[in-house]
Amino acid sequence: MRNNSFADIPSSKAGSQILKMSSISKRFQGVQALDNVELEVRSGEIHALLGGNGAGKSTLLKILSGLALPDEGTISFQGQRVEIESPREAQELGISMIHQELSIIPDLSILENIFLGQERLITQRNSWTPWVNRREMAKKVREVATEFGITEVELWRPAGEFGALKKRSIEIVKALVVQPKILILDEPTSGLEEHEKELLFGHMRSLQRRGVALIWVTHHLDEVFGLADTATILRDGRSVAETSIKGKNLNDIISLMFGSQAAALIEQPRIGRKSGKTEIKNQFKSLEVVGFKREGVLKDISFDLWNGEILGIAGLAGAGRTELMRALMGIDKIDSGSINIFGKIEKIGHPEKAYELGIAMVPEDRKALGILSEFSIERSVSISNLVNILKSGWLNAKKERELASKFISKFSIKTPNSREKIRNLSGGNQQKVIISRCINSNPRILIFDEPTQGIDIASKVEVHKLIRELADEGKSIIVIASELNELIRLSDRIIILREGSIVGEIDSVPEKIQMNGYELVEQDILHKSSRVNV
Amino acid sequence: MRNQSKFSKLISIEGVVILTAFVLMVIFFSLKADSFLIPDSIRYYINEAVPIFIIIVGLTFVIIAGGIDLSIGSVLGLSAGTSLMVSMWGWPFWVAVIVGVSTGLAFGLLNAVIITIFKVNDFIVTLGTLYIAAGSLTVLTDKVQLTGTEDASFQRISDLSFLGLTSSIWIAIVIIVVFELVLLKSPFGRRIFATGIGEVPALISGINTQRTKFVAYLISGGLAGFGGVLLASHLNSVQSGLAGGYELTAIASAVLGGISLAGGRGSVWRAIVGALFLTTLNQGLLLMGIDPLIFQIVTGLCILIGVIVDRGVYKFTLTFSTQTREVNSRSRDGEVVSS
Amino acid sequence: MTPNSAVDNSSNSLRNRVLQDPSFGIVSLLITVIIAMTILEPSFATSGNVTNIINAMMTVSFLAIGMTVVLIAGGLDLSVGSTMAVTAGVAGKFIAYGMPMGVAFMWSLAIGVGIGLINGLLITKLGIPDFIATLAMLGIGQGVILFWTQGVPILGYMNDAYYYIGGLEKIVGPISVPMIVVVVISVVMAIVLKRTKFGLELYAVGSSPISARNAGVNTHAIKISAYAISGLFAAVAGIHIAGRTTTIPPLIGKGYEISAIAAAVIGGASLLGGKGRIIGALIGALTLTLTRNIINLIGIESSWQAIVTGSVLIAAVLANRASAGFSRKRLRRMNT
Repeated sequence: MRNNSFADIPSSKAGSQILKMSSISKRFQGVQALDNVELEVRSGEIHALLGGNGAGKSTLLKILSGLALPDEGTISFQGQRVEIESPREAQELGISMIHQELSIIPDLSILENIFLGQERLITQRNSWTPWVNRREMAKKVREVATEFGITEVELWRPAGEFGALKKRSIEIVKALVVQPKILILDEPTSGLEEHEKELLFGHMRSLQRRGVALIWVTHHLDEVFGLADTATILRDGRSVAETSIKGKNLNDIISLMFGSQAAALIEQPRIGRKSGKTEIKNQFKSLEVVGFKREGVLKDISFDLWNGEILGIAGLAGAGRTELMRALMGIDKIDSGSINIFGKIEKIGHPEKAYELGIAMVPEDRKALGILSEFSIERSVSISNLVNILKSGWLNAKKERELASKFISKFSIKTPNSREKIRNLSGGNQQKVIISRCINSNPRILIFDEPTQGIDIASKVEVHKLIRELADEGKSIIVIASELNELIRLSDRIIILREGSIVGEIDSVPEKIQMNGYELVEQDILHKSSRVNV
Repeated sequence: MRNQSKFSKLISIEGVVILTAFVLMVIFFSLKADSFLIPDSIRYYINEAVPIFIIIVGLTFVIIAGGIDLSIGSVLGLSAGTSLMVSMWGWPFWVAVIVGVSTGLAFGLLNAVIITIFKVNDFIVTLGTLYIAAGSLTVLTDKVQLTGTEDASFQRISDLSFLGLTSSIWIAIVIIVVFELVLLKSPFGRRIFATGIGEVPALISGINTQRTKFVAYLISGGLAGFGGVLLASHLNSVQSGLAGGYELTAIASAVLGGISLAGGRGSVWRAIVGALFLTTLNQGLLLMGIDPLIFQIVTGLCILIGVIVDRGVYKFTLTFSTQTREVNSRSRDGEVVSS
Repeated sequence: MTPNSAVDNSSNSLRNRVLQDPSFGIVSLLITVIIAMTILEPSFATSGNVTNIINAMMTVSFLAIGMTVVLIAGGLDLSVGSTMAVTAGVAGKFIAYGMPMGVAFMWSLAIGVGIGLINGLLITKLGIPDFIATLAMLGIGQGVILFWTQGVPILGYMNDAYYYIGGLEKIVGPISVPMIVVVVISVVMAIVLKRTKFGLELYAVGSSPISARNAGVNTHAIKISAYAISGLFAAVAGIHIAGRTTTIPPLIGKGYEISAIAAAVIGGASLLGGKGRIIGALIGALTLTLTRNIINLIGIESSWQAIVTGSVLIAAVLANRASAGFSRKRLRRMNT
């Protein structure tokens, strides 16, 4: 469990009911996204909204924030029936939202991003005027902005210049600056560093003390304990439970979210499997990266990789993990450094070369980077190794189909047939297709960047099983995962990145867990990853 | 999972809408206009349209790969000029062909380099090369009077009659078939689709998107060059401004055929059907005695209707996804989040 | 000079602001060329030639300003050339039929705005890609004017007042009515873009339509307005060009959309939206006109014009890209 320094501060008693959503139903693209959902929130309460992927949380939030209209059901705000027909109306009621996907407008300055659409709410002037007074806005916004680390100079620069961290801060300031009555936070901690998360939690508590109601969506279940008062749990579009958090533990919540079997599915950490250097027969170094440098991003990184081992890469957002992998795959250029792969020195200037050398990558952010949305499952699987399905020089449909079928059955991919478009599959099945694509290219080294991001718990378990099997077959695996839970369970060895350099390595992870316990390993990684000095 | 009704399954077959529209139109005109279905007149106007068919093939590759090529019309005109000029100077016809195609390839190369290597916006670049090619033709025709070659074999490239059709048409058929095969059945073609769907996911899957697009622009240029040769052979004279506006017809044809300008889907034959639709429409209206000055208005309206219908069909077929998925919309917001 | 987008950089030093100005490259190039021409070619810097250049700049300036607004909002208007033609025809024909000039001009402007509104609605409500919708309108507009004139130029509408309005007659010295109109429109639009909510929302919608919508901006209304403005200024250009050329040939306006886009892009507007400014449109229009003028003066046949325009366009975009790369590098160095 997280050592939450705010756990000691008692949350103030929740006040009167401020929001009631009753019997909300919504059909979306042929599927019943919400079915008679209830949500009741009190002012001054931190109310967690939980549920797996596809449970309906996003849809419910869309309705509350004015981006969608319910097919059925009513919304009652401060005791009065309301229809929220646009984001503007939601804002005027006093409902602010921090989105999961960044909603930043790159060509506008940070200041403009903050006040866009809510100038009146900030200046609290009711007369309409076409003019925009940036200086006045700056005055009103300055204080909150500084609290979240946005300097005066930065206020005036285009928001597109900044990284994900700053953009998240802008969103938070934007929501706070209008002094909302209800603040919706959709995965607000994604992309934040540890001390920034604590800052955020502190702000949530002070908002709570001021009587603001917070609706908080997160999949970091451990964050919920010690901060949230109540939780509403959705499953398959229905409200499954509304419960107070006190007196519950993690397993209780998971059972409610996914059913009681799911709790049992949480696997044991990778115990008994010694690190690659000692146990495996025919040990050899599959990869040696020496001196990767890229200005501002990678600072002289060197590491080894052995066959049959799972190497985990830990670090906070912005530490350079994905950049390192992209450099390895030849997607990004490096200023200097060399790669020694299976004993030969190679230059990888393009992913095409990486695949040729036997490296394959399952990227993070499936939607933007991983899937080719128009492609069928067949085509998605074959694309990294088209040579495989050739017959007399032309692509052969039969071979392609057989190949896809092979993977569909091997990985239990849920689909009516192999011609189905990959975008129609659920996240977990999409990920399995991408993994199939990689395996089809006959790699000897596989890179997984956030392999279980946004997929349901059953598929998570399958993917983990898959990764371990691949390692057992002798392949070399690199895994990046933000959930330390996941990383520690999977890896034989972990290297820790911070601000572009390797700051630590944890050898023989399974043994360390056996000896010292899981928490200590996690602490070790956390301390090294963050700027906080040990 | 909803079961697709027979009707919706039918609609979602590629190109079925434009084909139906085409057939309906043909029926309409054969009833309303005299001499519409006379084989001679059909042969005639199809023959006239061959150069457009050829540039459409190249354009299809570029569009599916996610780009656009506005220069194809002017490049076709310029190549017509250079190849005719060379023939007039006494060179054998095959030299003229090489010169014409090379002119096209040169512009294709220019486009390819600036767009894929210097990463300048394809719309602007091909707009610029459109200007350069058209301007070059003007300069050329200023200096040299391209009134016609005496070399009969050059003229026969397009006019040779074989099994009732001109060599122009046969060549067009061969090119269409060959390139469609390449697009649909070759690894290169598959890479074109992937690149068009998303450069980043394609890259991460190991595809050299830069090289793929590069070749697509080369193909477009080369085919425009070859089309120019055919046009020069057919007309036996070239003036400034020749083939100006062909690119608009080509794009309109692609759109009517249901090829998305965003890339990632389509095929050659669909664009050709779109072209057939447009040319036949114009021919039909002409034969009905409608003022030719209205044609542009009609073409414009066709484009609008074509796009609306195509979008409607696409959205309709999307409602039958098996699980709830939002439409994967393209936006510049898609950034790589560093970790 | 202010930066290209909505951002206000007032906290920067003057030197930095000049160097980082996105039009720095093209303006330096222009200044160099102007100095070179003044030295090398005596007839260049004469008052006659300068007036020539400024007069020739007018039409493209109107179109470029409208195009810049559309580009900022993330759209593209290929129909401006044909809108210009249609509205010119309306002005000419109506006046020739005996309508008072002012009323005829009202009609032109109204039709220009109308075409813009149709474009905007096709693109926002029907979801047609802007490229295609405006391309189709271009075809339809051209067809309309061809049909209406039956291929015969429109004549007989010029009167004394129109000579002034078209700029053939100057008011005082070299100053003509179109020049004043351009200045007024530029100032007004620049203020709108920089100081009003509408202007800010234009940039927002062009930069990231989804985020703008999330922030509560009415993206459809903004885009429709942008196209309406483009149509309005195309109509202004139409009224102007009818007065300048004194007869309206049926193919008038052909190719002008390309000049408008080129001018806007040279001036720093981005085809992806979210960037652009009025002064940039004028710089672009000047660049194109200057190019043409220089070609004439140094004796290259006018048939080379197209080649040079095309090359200038590509060169300008490459230069813009290079300077964007430099400022990004400078910024990265600043931040690390």
